[in-house]
Amino acid sequence: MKTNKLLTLLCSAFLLLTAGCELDQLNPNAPTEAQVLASPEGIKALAVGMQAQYGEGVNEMVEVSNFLTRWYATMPASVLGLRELETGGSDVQGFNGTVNNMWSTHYRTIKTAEDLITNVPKVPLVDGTRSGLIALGKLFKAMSIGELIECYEQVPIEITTSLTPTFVNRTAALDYVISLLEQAQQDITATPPSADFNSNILGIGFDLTNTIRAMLARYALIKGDNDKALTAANGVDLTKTSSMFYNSSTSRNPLYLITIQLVYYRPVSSWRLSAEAGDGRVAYWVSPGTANSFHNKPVDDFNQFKTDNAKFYVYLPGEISLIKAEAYARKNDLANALTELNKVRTKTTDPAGIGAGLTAKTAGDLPNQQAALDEIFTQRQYELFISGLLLGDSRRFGKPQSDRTRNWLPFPDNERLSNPNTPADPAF
Amino acid sequence: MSALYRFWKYGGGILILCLIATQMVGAQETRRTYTITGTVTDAKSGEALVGANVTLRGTSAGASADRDGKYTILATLSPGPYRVAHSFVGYKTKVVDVQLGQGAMVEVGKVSLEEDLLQIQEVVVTGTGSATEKDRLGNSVATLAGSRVADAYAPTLDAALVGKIAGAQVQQNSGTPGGGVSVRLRGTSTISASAEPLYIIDGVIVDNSSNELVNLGGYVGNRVADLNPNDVERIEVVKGAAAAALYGSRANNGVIQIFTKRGQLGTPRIMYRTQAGMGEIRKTYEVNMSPYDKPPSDNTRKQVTRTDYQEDIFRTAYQYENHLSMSGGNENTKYYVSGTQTSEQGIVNATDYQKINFRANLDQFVNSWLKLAAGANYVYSYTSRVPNGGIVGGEGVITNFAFQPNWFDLQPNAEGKYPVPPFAGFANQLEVMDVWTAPLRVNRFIGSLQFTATPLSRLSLEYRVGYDQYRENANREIPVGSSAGYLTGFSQQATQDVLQLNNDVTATHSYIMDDFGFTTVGGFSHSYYEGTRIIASVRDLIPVSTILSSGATATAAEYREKRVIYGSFLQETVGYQEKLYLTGALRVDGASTFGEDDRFQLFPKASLSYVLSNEEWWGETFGSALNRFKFRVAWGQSGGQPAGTYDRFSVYNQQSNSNRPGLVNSVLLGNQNLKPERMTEIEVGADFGLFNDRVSIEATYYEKQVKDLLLQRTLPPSTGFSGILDNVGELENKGFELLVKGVVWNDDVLQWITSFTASQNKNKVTKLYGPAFAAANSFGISRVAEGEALGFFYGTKYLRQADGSLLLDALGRPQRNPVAEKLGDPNPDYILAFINEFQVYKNLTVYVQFDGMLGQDVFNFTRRILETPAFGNGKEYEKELNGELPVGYFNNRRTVFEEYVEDGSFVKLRELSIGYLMDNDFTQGLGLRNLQVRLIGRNLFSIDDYSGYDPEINAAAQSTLVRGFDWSTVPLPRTWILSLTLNL
Repeated sequence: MKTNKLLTLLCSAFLLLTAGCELDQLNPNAPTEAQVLASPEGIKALAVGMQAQYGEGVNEMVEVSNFLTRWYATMPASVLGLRELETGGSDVQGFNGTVNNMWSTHYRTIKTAEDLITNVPKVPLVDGTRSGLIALGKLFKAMSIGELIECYEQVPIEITTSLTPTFVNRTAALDYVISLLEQAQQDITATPPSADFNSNILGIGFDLTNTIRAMLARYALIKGDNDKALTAANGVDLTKTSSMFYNSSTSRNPLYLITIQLVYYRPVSSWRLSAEAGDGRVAYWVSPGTANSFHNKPVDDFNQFKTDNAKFYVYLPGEISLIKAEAYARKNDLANALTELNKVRTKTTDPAGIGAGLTAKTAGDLPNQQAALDEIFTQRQYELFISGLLLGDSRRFGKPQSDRTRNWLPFPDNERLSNPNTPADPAF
Repeated sequence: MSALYRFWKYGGGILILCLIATQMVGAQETRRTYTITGTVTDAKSGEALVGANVTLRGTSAGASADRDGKYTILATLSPGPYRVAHSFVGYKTKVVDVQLGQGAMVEVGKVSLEEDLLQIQEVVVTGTGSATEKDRLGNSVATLAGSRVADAYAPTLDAALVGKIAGAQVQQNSGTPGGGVSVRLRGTSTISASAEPLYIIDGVIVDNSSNELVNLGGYVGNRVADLNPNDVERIEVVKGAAAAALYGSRANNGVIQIFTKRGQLGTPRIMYRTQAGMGEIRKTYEVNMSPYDKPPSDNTRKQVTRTDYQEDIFRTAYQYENHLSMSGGNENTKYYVSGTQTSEQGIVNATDYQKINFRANLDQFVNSWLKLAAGANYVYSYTSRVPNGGIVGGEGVITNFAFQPNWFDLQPNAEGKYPVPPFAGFANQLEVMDVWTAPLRVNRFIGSLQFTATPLSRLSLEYRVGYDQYRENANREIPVGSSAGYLTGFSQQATQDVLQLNNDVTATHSYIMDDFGFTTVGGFSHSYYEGTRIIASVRDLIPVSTILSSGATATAAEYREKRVIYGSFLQETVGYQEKLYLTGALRVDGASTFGEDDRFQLFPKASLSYVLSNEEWWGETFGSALNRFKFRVAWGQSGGQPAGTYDRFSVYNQQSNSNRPGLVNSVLLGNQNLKPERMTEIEVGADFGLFNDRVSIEATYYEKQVKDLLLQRTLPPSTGFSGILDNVGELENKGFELLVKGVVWNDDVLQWITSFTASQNKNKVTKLYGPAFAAANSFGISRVAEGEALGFFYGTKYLRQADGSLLLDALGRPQRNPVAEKLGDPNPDYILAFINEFQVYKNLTVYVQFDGMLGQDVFNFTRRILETPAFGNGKEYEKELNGELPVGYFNNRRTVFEEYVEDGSFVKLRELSIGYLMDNDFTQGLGLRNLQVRLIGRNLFSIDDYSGYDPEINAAAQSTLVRGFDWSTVPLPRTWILSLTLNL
């Protein structure tokens, strides 16, 4: 600013002590927007932070999904918000803690992802680092919006342009998620990520290429684009896994903190008891418990995330086979559907350590499309128990409303009170 | 911004051109050199008034009276009529008309000045740009003689102001030595920032932060405590918008300027004052002395022995102070030097305050037109503190008197180990006093250098640089093995470094043309603040040692800030026939804390003073019955700085992933359009003199509207942020101030002066962008809501019957109505003071000050905990133990917060001072000019209905929003001091 030159001049001319003439004082305590978004080291650190931000909130999607589908039950009297999800209906209001947290943590990730997508092209970076950062931004934005539209009927999808973002419906949001994932795929196909990106930015255990494909398959299937889902799923390397990184100090697994350390809730025993006899996945997820929940339901103990550095898989290999099975089934290609379904039923383990170890189904067992879909739904319930997908599944497979305590979450009060664009709450 | 920027940039240049132009106009006339002489004496005694100030109005020419009261003014002027004004501190100014003509020698003769017992004709400088007689001001400026401050023998300079300034709410928040005073001038004008006024010493802005470096439960001192009351010559308090022109974006809370003593003409004067005193708690709680621990119905009831642990906490506290000063000088050089050593115990065991204070002031004429004034002040203090006031944390000494059942023996065992008390998470108060330490050290230097030049007869230029630098270092040390959550020990060290630098350039030009007088003041200021805070702490200490390096698990944090403020102002005062004065001023401030596009802010002001009694017809109409009458009105705008230095920035915080450092954006969005909170004030007032100034009355009504208040506005979470600090709130303060002073009796035997001040302020939040909210650290009690006063109390009430009596349950216990409502208001309706001064035969002086506040509520959380059955230390709870009240009575009552909101109105005998001055053969024989013995009592008694220790204290210290919150805070002690002053 021109002012400052004059001020500095005045300072030096008139004053005995000329310290601190500058009116544009920078904040030495924390990096500012201008410093982070315009420098290579700042923008790389932002990409690192974004992954942690996403990883901190993986419990919320699971909680919404599994409470609303009646698989979880709260334990202590104090966890009122979660109990509201458990009882559902009009108990869940805009002030509910999870309703607000799910929304705000996901939008914090989306904000960071948008900052990456917008600013990475302006920062001097090696090409492969740039493509990796942009693809990472698009993937995390897509995953975050994707999870939001499993819970909320309408969502904002572009947020940095206004302080009162506008909402789009679920179909538009889903199209947007798919296009983001397709762009991300193109970005890294055109310019493969650099070694610097892979070893210094991308989280340990996170597989960028396969995650983009898996998410594309997941959301294409949810949209009903079975061919796109199949193509994407076929591209996923089933020998690989992709997971969020946690350690015992600075980034602890939130599922460990809530389900093992604090024990806010437990899975209801009926999930275990309604499993097919001999299903190996039951013991993977839970172990029989003796306690009863706050509402006096028999509950089991969690058998996963038992340490604070336990991984959280962003998708499971079994989901990919089940996506294929469902896409074939919905295309009425029951033979291929059966093949993919049996891969999941019969595997005794996989790279994530999950194996049902069940017998294969025959064509006779699944005589029609509905029977195939029913079986696929059941397999998803056991294969993907703690993945945050059960609520969407329950709706997509047309399960009766009584299976769910609510279909959709209301919009958070914090949003409604400050954003006039917030739509009316869904009825149920 | 550009217009403001241009004003800012070119305003100064235009001003100087104007000044030179008027000077040239004058220069064209024929000028001659005159020598004007005269003598100034005391009208009563006829003695010379050494150092009296004589000025030639409308020019910068002037002189001081010498040892014989004689003065000589040398000035080159155009011939014509002039007025010579003779003034001296404590005397009424006398103006003599002279005609400058052919003769170069002009003799004014003997001018005798009358004592100004009621301080009617004072000259003030704060907020006015240049020294201005009060008559000319359109706004009220309160003044206080330094002797009133020193003779109050208050623990700190600001505490001495209690009751002495109309319209000021001065509240000592804690009886802990080492400071902790809140001052509100015409109410609270901010929500999110500090509401304390701007303090200025000899023109230099000084820091008055309350730096809470370690957590002592809410208690924290403020840095005005460093200043020495003995060095004060005079205090000026500007409460309203009048301060705008000089202090712009920092003036919303008003300005308190302190002038320190300076040398005077004559032989060196030495003053030695020594004092010793003792303080004690004025009132304690009656405690539960029941021989049983549980009610009769409880079959686990057992016999217990109870102790009143207040006896282990409070003590008789001793204090002493030695002060030595020397001052003197000749026509060219004057000096004042002083040193003070203070030692003061607190009434709570293990608390005390040691302070050393040095000051040197020098005035030196470099030549006939250039004067240098310098001041240097060094302070060192060491305060031993204990936690108290459980508003943040449960380790306080009085806190645990309330929390730990008094049947539990807290005394250490044979090994000196203190038992862990039964109520988990809280400390053993005996151990806290005996073993834990929390010292605070302050090293501070305040310096100033001022050049005053009068190069031309009508122009004076002033350049001032001020420097305030201190380091405040706080420790908290808890050895390994301590109770209450510190089993592995804890050591913390926190340091706050502050540097504040101010540069001011001011030009004053006066010009008289026929009946009109013009005074133009313009100036430029630069202010720089730098602060660094470092906090390091360790746990898992080795035995015995408690320094930082004896711990294993360490954490450290640092915070740095820099603020820069530029300002320039231009003020014009036009006077007509010494009866009508019109002032207008503009100030432009630029601050680094504001957003770039809102960086330059304009603050205008205008005021009018009409001295009707100077009209010729007045004397014939009203005569001496209403001998003086002045009407005044002032309008102005000022600003308030945001609490945070960097609120305009969006910042990123650390968040690592895969063991690599990463960043995520803060949940608070920076505000690029941040601007000051803006206050617009209008005040209307009148000053009267009755019966030839035997009674003086000042009455003022004011209305302050503050808009653009900085509040955290909630943002839609879908933006990725939770909030933004934004200029969205509005509030108002309306009130009146009344000051009545009178000479009740004045003859050779007795002089009796009485003064009464009353002020009323109504505070109301008029616009809050979001919903009502509870202030932090108030347990949800102190709230901010539209239509209510700041920090009003909010909580649950009793269930009541139609006739208002309590609706008891079947067992006869009170019940709570779970719907929360307004319960009270901690802001006083009226602030009153009644002061009487008697002087008998010039030797015996008696000063009696009653002051108080009426209509405010206090939330007594201490009583709530004392009568809560789980702890049950209060006398009240005995009633449940002896079966007088049903079991569960107090358990129900403790949930009803209405019960604990009490009327906090009080009137205290704040000061009683009896002095005897000896100046006879005996003192002369000792080589003394005189000797004075004085006995002072402070806070001797309080007339109130409050059930707790003291309705005046506040557990949240100098908090803006949390007021009137009594939670185990140290009360103000009753103090007796005996002092001896030797004047040499």
